[in-house]
Amino acid sequence: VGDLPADLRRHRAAAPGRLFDEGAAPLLVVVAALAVSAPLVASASSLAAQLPRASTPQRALAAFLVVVPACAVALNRFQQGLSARRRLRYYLGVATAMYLVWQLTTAIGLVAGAGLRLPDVLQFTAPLAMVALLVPSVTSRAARTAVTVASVVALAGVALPAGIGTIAGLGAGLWVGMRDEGGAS
Amino acid sequence: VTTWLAVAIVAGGCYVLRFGPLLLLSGRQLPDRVARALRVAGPAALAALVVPAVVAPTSTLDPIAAAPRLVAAAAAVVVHRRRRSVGLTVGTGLLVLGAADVVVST
Repeated sequence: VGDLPADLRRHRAAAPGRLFDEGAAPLLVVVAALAVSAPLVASASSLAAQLPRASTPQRALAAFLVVVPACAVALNRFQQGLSARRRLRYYLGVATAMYLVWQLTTAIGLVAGAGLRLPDVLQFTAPLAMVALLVPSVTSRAARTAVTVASVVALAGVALPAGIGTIAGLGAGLWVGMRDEGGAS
Repeated sequence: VTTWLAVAIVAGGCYVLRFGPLLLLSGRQLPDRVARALRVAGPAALAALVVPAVVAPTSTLDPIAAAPRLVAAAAAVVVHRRRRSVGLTVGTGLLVLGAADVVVST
């Protein structure tokens, strides 16, 4: 997988928070950090369409826990059929579990990470887990087209800073999805 | 102070970006085109995140360096189609990547 320290340095450069270390203007950091949230907005929007009955406090809680994988797990499950009341509970269960594990493992990493020597290969765990979410989420021709277009555009823009490639890919995917009449799954 | 102000704006902004759609979009009839876009939003967001992470995690396109990860991701897709298990998918992907790295580096 290559020279680890160099890889890490490039990863750090890609994270909006690290822009500060490189002396970027605060406004740029803010814009970059918010722009990275674009996939979250898309996920939250899809989720919203599935939770018609949730109260405002319930939505506030749901919003706090929104991450792309949690929404993907819930939306994949909803496609197999789940009553409106159970959908909220299912999503909150998934998202809370992910939230706790994320916080816990981040804390462990902060405390113990410097002493750990893990194989580089393990860095690929997160992309693989997302592959496992992506595959079952493609249930219609429209989704397949959107995924293809989003992938190609995101890849074409991979060298652009601040995750612009991912945002462009998402936008292109939504655009073709909007135009595809065969969108019903 | 500017740093903390930026952190506060990002924190607040990130929450508003999530809460906004959940508050505004639920329980109302959406235009057809928007509803269609939302149906593919989840898969499109995942794809836009996953594909760069698989092909170019360091933001540089290098076909030779990407080959082991592509093979591993393809194996993961096949395993997930057949077995529908996240654990098996990730495990197979990691094993294939490990094996492919050994092959490439020798």
